[in-house]
Amino acid sequence: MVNEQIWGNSEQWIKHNIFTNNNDVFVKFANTFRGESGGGHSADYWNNISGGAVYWGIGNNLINPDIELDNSACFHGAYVPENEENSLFDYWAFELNNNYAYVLNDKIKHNEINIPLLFVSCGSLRFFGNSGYNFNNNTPYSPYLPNATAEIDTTTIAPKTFKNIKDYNLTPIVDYKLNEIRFLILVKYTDNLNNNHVNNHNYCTDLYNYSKIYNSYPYVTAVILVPIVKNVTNFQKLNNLNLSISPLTNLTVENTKINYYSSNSTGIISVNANVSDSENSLINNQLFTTGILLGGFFNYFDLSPYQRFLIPGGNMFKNIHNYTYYKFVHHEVTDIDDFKNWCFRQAAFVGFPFSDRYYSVIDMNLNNNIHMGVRNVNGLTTGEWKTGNDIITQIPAYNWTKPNEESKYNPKSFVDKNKYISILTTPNRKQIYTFGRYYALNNNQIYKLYDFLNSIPAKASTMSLNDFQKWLKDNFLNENPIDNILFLKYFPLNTSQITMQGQSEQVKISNCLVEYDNGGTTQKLYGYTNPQIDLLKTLNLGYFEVYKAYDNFLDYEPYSTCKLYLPYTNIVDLDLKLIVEHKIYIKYKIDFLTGIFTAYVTLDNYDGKILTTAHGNLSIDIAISGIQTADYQNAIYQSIANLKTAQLNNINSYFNTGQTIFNVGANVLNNRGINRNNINDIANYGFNLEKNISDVISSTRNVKNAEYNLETAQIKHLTVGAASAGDGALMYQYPCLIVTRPKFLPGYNAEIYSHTVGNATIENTKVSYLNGYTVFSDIDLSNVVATEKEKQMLTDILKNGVYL
Amino acid sequence: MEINLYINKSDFNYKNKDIELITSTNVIFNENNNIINPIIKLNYNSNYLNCNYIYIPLFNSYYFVNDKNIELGKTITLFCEKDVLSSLDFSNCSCTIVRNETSITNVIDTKLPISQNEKDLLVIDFNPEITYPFVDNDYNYFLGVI
Repeated sequence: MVNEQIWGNSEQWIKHNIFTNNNDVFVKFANTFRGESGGGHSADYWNNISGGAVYWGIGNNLINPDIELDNSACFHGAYVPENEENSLFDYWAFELNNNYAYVLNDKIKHNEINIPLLFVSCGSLRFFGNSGYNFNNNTPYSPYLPNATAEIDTTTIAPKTFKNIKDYNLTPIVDYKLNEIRFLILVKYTDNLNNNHVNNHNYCTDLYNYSKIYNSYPYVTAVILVPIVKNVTNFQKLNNLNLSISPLTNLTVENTKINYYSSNSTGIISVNANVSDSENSLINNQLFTTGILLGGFFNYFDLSPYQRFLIPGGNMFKNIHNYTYYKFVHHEVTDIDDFKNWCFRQAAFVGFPFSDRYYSVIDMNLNNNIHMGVRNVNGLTTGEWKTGNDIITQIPAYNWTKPNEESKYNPKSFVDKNKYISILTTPNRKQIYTFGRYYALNNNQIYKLYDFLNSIPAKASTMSLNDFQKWLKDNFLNENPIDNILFLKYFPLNTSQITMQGQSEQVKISNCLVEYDNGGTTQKLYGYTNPQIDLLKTLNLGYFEVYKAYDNFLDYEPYSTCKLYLPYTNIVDLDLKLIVEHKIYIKYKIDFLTGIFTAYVTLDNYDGKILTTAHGNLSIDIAISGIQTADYQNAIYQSIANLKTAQLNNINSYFNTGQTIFNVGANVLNNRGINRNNINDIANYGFNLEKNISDVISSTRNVKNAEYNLETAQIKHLTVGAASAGDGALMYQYPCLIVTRPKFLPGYNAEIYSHTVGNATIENTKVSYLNGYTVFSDIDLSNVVATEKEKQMLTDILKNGVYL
Repeated sequence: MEINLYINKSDFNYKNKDIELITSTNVIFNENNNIINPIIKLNYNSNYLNCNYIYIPLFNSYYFVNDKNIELGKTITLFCEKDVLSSLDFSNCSCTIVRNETSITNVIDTKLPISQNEKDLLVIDFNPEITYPFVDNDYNYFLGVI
């Protein structure tokens, strides 16, 4: 129920109020914070002011001040355009030139971030106008009525916060605007002399010009929606507020004079109250010892020796000796996830929808990147938050008024009934096959294994047949030694990690401990092995960070394209719409039994949504294994066996020939003369002799054949061997994210183009929300008091483009 | 009827024009004048020569001075046209816009001067794990035995 109120017309608002220029994010505030004519100026005056300044944050639990925050809050900045003539805002213009945050925002290099130590700079809501226009302590729920300041509790020393929105008869909140809170973390700054400057003001202020070394400026963002109100009497428009990252004041205070907000006797905070040196000393000695001032913002004045410290309000107040100053606390963060949660908690205290993803909010879908602070039954925030569709189940945000009755926008009128899951997980299969032992070997060990295998034929020649056969049976499950080798593969990685390091043990093929001859001495062959080996192993390769290059349609297909080269497999296409502003992680799940792998390309983390997969083979079957090599080894074995058989048959042949001759002689002697039988015997003798001689020749030939086979088998060894996936090993070994981007014609100037042609858009809005060059396609002039001809003239000129 | 004479430095399609007041003066409207294209005759004053924009409080309207007839020393006649953009209040009107100077959207902009013949081919930097596997190393062989 809450979201009908919370989300309102945000989408529309966002579309025509968020824009960027280079790296700055601009948000147009349609008078979110301004409702009065302050400082003695007329409403027209304010109306004509181009720009404004807004600081606000979330540290003070302004909705529920009873809950203590962490003495810190988010800091946010805005400024008036430099050409603003109003002297009241001169210092904002000055800020523009010295906007450290701008520097940070512009120059952060994400891929250089490391996080040795984190400090957080935060602030709170701050809205600067003039002395009579102090919205210190206000929340985005600030009253917008002309007498709004009267409703600020000025009877007590700060914190001066609204109890909650219900206590004020506010104009209903009808819409929300995108605002952005950035939690800045300063780690340290290393200059070009490699000196570290942690919390050193001078170096950080010169960060932009001093050096291009930007060591560590990670930041976490939270995006929230700021409410806007309706029916405000003095509803004036502010133009082009630049919500840049707030200055990350990195400060040593010892030599700094601080002109701060002091409290006067009535307890009302005044601005520009000069303080004495002793007062400054008090402040400096008390609090500002080192480090970042949380929530603080330093401003410099050309003609003043003082550095003006613009201090946010809220419950960071502390009152000592009638002077109000602020407590600033280091918030040291060592764990980025903890810090992120801390940021979320701060954002949740505000109670608005927020996100750690800028464009998630713009999309306005209740996905898992959208969070919103949880409120209790009284509408007060708790610091807790819910995510995605769970937001819908929250307690209605308020019974404040009738906030959205007039809004015709009802995001719940259509409900997507699809059931989505957030992550497709990769399988967590264990090894499929473990029958055997596996060794990680290096080059040298492979040669020794080769030597061992080739020593087997030689061993046969030194043993009797029976001994050799017994040796084979005793040592090998299969008598052919080569049959005991499952595979030998080359991988383009350290295979000892497959065996989980394991132990270096003597290689054992079946029951045969492998040894080799090392110059006359027998050496054992060692290799890394592990009985618990998992042949399915996932290797994390790394990630890409993909950002926008143009911040418009040119970042996407068909204008920009993206292909991902994955080593050992193919080039795959990636959809830029899915990956822009994300990290792309790559991992390979490899079956080391076969060498086959599946490459997973995932979103945001290794277990994130799978964008695509690819397959390939990492291994190269080297010559000693595989069927050809097995055949070769088998041929060797068979040749040896045949040779021995052939030699044995040869001996028998000779023996049989002698036996035949002996039998013929005996018959002759026995019969004392030649008779028919003897002729037959002689004939038989001749036949047998011929046969026996033939056998001898045959067996001799068999021996020769066997020897030939052995020789030729050895010759074959030089020719067999096959490689697979070898081409991958010769390619680039790292993934490549290849993008093609359109090029502008020479002379293109984005600023001039935007000003004279305008950026393409399709927005349904109200004219008052617009500024700059605008081309209309349609407009409803029903309520405009004019003749039809005048309306037609107006329509024509609007369609041709006007400057608002 | 009083009118204000201005020098307008802005183009016609600026709603908030950069105008500089020359003077205010009284004039008498001719009978045939109309509210969109009034013709205003002034007594000659050299200060009026630069006037290109006027405001008529009675009509609560601004006018471009499109042309002038000058009788030196006698009269200056201003041929005016109503500046509907600056005169009419249409700020609360609902509208659809197709171009805006400050909008950033993903709407395809066919006017952008993109080269039809050239593209940039870029390779995005990869952040490898410390334990990136495919690097030169030892123990490249994997032996499986029974």
